[in-house]
Amino acid sequence: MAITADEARDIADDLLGAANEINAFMDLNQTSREERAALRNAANALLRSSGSMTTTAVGLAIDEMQDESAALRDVIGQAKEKLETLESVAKAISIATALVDLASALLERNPGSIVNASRDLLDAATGDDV
Amino acid sequence: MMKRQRNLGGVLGASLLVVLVTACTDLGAVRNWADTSLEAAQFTEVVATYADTPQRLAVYDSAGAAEWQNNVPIRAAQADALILQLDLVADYMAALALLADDKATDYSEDMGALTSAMQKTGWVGSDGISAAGGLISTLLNAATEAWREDQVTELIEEANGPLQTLLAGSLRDIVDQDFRRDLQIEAGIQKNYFDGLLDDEDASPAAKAALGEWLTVRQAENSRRQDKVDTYLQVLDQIAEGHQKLYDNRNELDGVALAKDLFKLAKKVRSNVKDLVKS
Repeated sequence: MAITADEARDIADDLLGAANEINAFMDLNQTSREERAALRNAANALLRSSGSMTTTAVGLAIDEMQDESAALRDVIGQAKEKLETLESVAKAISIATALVDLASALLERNPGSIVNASRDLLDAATGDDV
Repeated sequence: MMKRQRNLGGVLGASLLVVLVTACTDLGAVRNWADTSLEAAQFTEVVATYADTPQRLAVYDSAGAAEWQNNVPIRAAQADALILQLDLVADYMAALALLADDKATDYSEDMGALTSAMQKTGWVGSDGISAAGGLISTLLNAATEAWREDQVTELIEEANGPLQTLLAGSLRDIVDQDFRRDLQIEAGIQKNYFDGLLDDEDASPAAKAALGEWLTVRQAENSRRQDKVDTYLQVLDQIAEGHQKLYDNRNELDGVALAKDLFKLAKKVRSNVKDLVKS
């Protein structure tokens, strides 16, 4: 049976609590060196299991976050589209400017100006400078 | 005919006024808030601390080193996933800050270039072009400004649900419960390690004193890490609170009360981020 992140957290908390109980017992009671070593080993085993259960809890919590992540990613996509719309207004104006320059150059029949204006129009249309 | 022209002028003037009045919202507070939140979301040290815990503890718990090492690759992958979540928050805040930036809808320079290009052609009178260009520029800026405000409102509306669930829910629980527990486990393992060494009857008083000092150093490190978790939680809470305020005031984003609240919160966030970075 699969467990949830919160259930894994409860187990991890219980294991940590049991390890703390052992340490508290050692602090309050007279014990031999061998007994203390054995109790420390037992406490460490509980702490280790609590650590592994914490890893499990975080993994489950990350899985449970996926819907929110997808929703937020969608909002970011929308924001980028809105920004592109704003940029496209500036792009339309710059294309219009380049077109006017080109028309003017064509009327002047000035080859140098025509080449420059054509290049500006291309830059404006490809959006590199916008 | 004159009357009709005057009426038309009146209608145009009134329309311009309506557009300008509806477009004068100042989104500076939103932009500043989003910028601050973006900066805060980029702090990921607490995630790295969590990912590294098994490696740190394998040293102090040799009997369980293999189990700790098993957790290393899993936590590395989890850290990537968690940083991705924080990146999402940062990306959203960056997009919100850009959209709330006044420069996003200022086309004065672009229109200036267009009117100057038209003037050079000599097709239309210079004065007329300048006046028309100025008017079009004002109208265009105002219209896009109004549109932008609507888009910012819409963005805040749609983002608030998932953002609150992440910042005030899932992500907060991981930091508050799992990262905190992880550091308590570290404190326990380290204490048991040093207590075991100090329990050695053959150890010299000098060795015991040195071990005692090392234990104090490790406990201080652990305590600093726990402080960072506390501060980071405050940052997550403050980002969530600020966005909730934006959501609650989404139809009046240029309100003075909102600007004041966001300013105060941003100040707290910046102060917390400063603490996180320096300690």
